[in-house]
Amino acid sequence: MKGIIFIYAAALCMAAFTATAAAQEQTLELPSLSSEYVKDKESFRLAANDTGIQKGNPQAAPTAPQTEFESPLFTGSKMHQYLGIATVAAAAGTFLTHFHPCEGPNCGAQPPRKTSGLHANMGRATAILAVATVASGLISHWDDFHAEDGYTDPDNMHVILGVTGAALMAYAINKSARSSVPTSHAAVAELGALTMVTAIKLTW
Amino acid sequence: MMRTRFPAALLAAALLTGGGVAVAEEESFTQWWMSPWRHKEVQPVDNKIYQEECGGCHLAYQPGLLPARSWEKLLTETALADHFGDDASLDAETLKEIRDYALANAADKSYHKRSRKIALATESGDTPLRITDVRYIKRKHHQLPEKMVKGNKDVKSLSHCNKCHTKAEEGNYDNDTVSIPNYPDWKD
Repeated sequence: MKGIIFIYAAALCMAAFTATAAAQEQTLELPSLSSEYVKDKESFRLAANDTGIQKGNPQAAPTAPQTEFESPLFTGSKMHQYLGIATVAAAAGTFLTHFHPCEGPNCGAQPPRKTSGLHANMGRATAILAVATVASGLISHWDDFHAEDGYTDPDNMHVILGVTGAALMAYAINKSARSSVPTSHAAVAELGALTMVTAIKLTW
Repeated sequence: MMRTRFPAALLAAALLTGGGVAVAEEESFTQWWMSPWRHKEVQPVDNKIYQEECGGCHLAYQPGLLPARSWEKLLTETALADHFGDDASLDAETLKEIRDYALANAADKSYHKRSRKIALATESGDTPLRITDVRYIKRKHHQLPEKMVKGNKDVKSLSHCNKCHTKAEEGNYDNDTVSIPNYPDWKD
């Protein structure tokens, strides 16, 4: 149980880290018609920007010695990546801790239903991690989604499949948690996990 | 139930790992799908002649940064005689080697994510001859003010990818590896 609490705490901390890292990196820019216009204008300027090299430009940037670059350990993008991997690992753990000694009509009386066992808690941890992953992805990769690129764009597919996978896993867990008797929820949860793995693979 | 699921999980892990080892020089969809290695960026240049000939004058731009039809136009005898204002002529054998390599690893032939995005962005419309003319590349740089590129004496042009993308030679153009000279605090 302590391990599960640790996972909950870690997921919350990582989600908080993501938001902090993203806030440090950029301000959240929601698209609007006017901002799209400005972006197009800037793209044209960018193209013009490359046609020649300015010489002796009084607006030239001040010179500062370039220090050796070290990639930061914690960025919004990296947090999203860590959370995604943690979600898949937790889903695999949930899958492996599902144990029924006997299933079917000839098994006699079933053992009482556990709602706080390892499997149940791992499932809840998976759902929390999945939600944290989706939230961190929306925060740190907001500008990678462009509807005009169509659903075959890897990032667009990633977000569609990632959100669907998280929703399916959350639905399966919710279905089981609300039932007073053992209920079949494995297929939906496994489908959700596989959908999420596919989403990760597309942008891995 | 547990007895069948655990071996199934082990088998899946083995397939995933084994698939990566089996990756050949030219990847198929299955090899890409089974590979555990990262394909997020652009395939690094792994052809010695391409590296030496192109990299002799500028960054050896990875073929995955442009679609095949762009390389077809760029890598001909006549096009290289006037390569953006310079004579970059090559002997026929070298040109064939470089052209074949570029065409085989172009954006629309690659399974690397950034190349796939470039391929999608160049599917319709004109054939871009400059990497900086690709819609996806333009969009990724739209926030950059002029002073950071053209007016920056240590960058000067967007075509100098490796001035800011510190891992450009490895085909890595991730945001986390960007460091604009003279603007160390800049973040996308």
